[in-house]
Amino acid sequence: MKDTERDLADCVGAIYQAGAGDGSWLDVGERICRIMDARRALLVLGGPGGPRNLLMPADGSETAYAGYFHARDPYAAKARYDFATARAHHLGNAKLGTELVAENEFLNSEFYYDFARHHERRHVIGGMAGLTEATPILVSRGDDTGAFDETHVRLLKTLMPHVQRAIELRARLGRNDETFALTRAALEALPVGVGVVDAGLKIRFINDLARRYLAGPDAGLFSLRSGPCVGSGVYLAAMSREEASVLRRLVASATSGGTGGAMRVTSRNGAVVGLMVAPAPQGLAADVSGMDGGAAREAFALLILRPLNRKVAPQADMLCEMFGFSRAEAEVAVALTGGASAEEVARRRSVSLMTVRSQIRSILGKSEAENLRDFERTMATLGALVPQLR
Amino acid sequence: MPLLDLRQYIEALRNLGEIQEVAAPVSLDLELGAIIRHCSETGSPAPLFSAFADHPSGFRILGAPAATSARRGLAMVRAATSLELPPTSSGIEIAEAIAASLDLPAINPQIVDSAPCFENISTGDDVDLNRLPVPLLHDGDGGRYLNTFGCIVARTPDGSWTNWSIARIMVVDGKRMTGLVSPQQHIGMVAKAWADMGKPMPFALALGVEPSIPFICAMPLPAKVDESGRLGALMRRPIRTVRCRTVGLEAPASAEILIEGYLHLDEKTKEGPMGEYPGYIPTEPARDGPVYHVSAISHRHDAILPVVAAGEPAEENHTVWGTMISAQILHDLRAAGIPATTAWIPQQSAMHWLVVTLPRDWRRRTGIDAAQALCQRIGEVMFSTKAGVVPKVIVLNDDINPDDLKELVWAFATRCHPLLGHAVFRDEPEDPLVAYLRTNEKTAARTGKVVYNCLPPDEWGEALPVRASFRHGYPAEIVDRVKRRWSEYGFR
Ligand SMILES: Cc1cc2nc3c(=O)[nH]c(=O)nc-3n(C[C@H](O)[C@H](O)[C@H](O)COP(=O)(O)O)c2cc1C
Ligand SMILES: [Mn+2]
Repeated sequence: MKDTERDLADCVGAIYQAGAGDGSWLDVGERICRIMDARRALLVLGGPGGPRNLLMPADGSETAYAGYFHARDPYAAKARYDFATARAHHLGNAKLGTELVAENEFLNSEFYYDFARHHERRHVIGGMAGLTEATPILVSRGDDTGAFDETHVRLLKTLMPHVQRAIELRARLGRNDETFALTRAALEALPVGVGVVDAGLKIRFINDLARRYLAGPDAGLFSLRSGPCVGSGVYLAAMSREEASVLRRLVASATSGGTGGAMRVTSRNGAVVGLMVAPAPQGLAADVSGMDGGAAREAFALLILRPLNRKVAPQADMLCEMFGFSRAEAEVAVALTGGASAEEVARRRSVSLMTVRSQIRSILGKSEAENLRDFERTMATLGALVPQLR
Repeated sequence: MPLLDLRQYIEALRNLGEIQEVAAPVSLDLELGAIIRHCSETGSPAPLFSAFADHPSGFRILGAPAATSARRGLAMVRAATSLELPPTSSGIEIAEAIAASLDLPAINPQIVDSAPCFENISTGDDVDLNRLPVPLLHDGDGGRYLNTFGCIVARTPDGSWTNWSIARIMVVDGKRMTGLVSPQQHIGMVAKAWADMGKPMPFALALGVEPSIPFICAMPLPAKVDESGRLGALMRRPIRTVRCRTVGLEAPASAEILIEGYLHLDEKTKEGPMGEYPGYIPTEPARDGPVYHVSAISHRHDAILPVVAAGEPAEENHTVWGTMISAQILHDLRAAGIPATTAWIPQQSAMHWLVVTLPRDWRRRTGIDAAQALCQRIGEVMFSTKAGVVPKVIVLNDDINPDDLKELVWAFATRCHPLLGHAVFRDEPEDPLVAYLRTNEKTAARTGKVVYNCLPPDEWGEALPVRASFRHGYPAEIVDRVKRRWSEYGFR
């Protein structure tokens, strides 16, 4: 499970990029499968060619599902039901397949017998997302790999709020008659910082989270009211010359036909944010440039800001679930991440240093971290991934 | 209407209120120089002298022929009129027009059969420079300077390049002159080509030429480019020339006075010093200058000699040479991919500052990311040509108008970090006349140069400081409202 936290962070980034119209959902599907050790992932959304699974390339299995079996899929049916009856309760949640559909019911279904058992869909985890109708993420495996467990559920749960925001974003941006106000609302609602800048880094839009980040006294990025006249606009700038230069390079790429890229921005207090720069999707660009965007359409870059080492330690129970820590191990882990030394932890918990040392060995073993530093990094990233719901 | 000679130019200036007839006899010995100096410093009309207390009549002198005017909005009216541009053109607009002409094909001169300067011709023993009204311009000058604004024609021995330039020339005696012939100037190069063959260089000195000619004579064009063809391109007509009588050259046909002869690079006499464009009268002794032997003097009836009293700004070194250097550098920077909004030598800097302004998006346009690298590049482009005589370059954003001294002083003072981002060039060729050079630097004609970075910190990117001025610091509605209600407030 060593690289999972990094993979998760990257996957969240990929999800927003896909939602914003850049990046690809197939990439998201691939990442989800890798993280969860799954074979297939499913997210059916409408598009130009009608509804289809965005997460997998079209193959025989997908064709069969889209052509017939989607209507027989008991998990999809259960999702529709849950969504219709108690959407608020289910949104963002993830569950093992066996909790969604009784095992024997599933094994006796036509869906299983004629389709799922031949197509790596023996074991399932379902995560709930949807706007006006249920569009769950279903992750599956064949029998050979064995059943999913709570660790996997936890992982999908981490991703689901981001998936939900991303499909909201996708829906907003995809509609041509969309008003700016609606796009704005969608971008404001994102749990990541989002900004749209022109090729000169003049800010055309910025959501509340990004605004708050930029206003932080230690932030590595800041916004700058520019002259020469009042009203000449507000620009995005970086505190460090080097980071400002990298940022300009990425924005130049994203606004001139390139793909942009990713960078890290370090705050004065050591906090690190991941900044992704991508070409702004057409719909978004049109929205922010307003009515006059007729003649020469200006290119914009979409910026997505995520804290990477927000100083929020993961909760102990989350660690128990993710790594199979004992309660005591999880508490030691949290204390260590808070900066305590082994000696301090022993004193605070009134146990011997020997005990703490053996707990640390176990923690490192279970989390597959090489050393405490490595483990701290893992924890930092996990902390950042706890969805920031307001 | 084209201005084809000095007299047409004087009439045009007279109509614009820029000529002051001076009928009272003035002394060529300092008095005339002092009057011209005072006119240059106060922006008074150009004095047209017709009588001299210490010289016979028959000649006139036009002082401050292209100096600035004190009249509002008309500072560069003489330069603009000389180049047939609208009288209200600013220096920056004039430089822009000249820079643009550099990309036009040359229009070579047209040789005409006769010229008014041949109304009076003296050759051989009749030649006597002392018949001309030659002033002593500054107290401390080492001689009387005949040429301060005339066109020296020089042609390479193979005939492939004909150079027109201005360089000061003083009278030595009735038949000899001397002047500055610097090896880095084209006249020096051409003269050397003749000297290498063991021959003196034929020259023609055309004084009182049509008003556009001194401008091209002061332009730092590359070697082997004929000024006459460039001026044709700028004025969109061939410049008329006429064959000289005693040397194998053609000179501008519009000349009031035409002096012909041979420049002997190997023959030396005392030259200077002379009060010069940096604004000082040198205190060092005269240096060796080469000798111009005069073989013919021709002139119109009642010929007019233009005279520049060099010194503190603004005189023609600043308005003419400065504008032409600005134009050349503007062109060169743009050709090198630097999107200069303008390049301008503020006249008050006496040719020691050149301001380059840039749009906020210069990074995207140049591909250069750091302000220091940009300054380095600007210096490399500038200092590699003969336009690079200006030793200090100020790089600013183009919200600043370098022709507005108040704005420029404020911006240079407040935007220039004493330590960060400048490009320093430690050993570059330089005009020995630059004011502050040390003795060894004057001798070597080399010194240090600098490009001052006055751009915002690199991390700001394209953001600029917000100016707390009436014009910039308030929303347009408020500015309009205040202007509208100004008299309502009780102001007049
Ligand atoms: C009024 C005035 C006086 C000048 N005096 C001199 C001078 O004495 N010596 C000199 O080398 N350049 C002088 N110059 C500058 C030259 O004309 C200028 O450097 C020009 O580029 C020289 O021509 P060239 O490029 O063909 O060599 C003067 C310019 C003006 C406008
Ligand atoms: Mn030349």
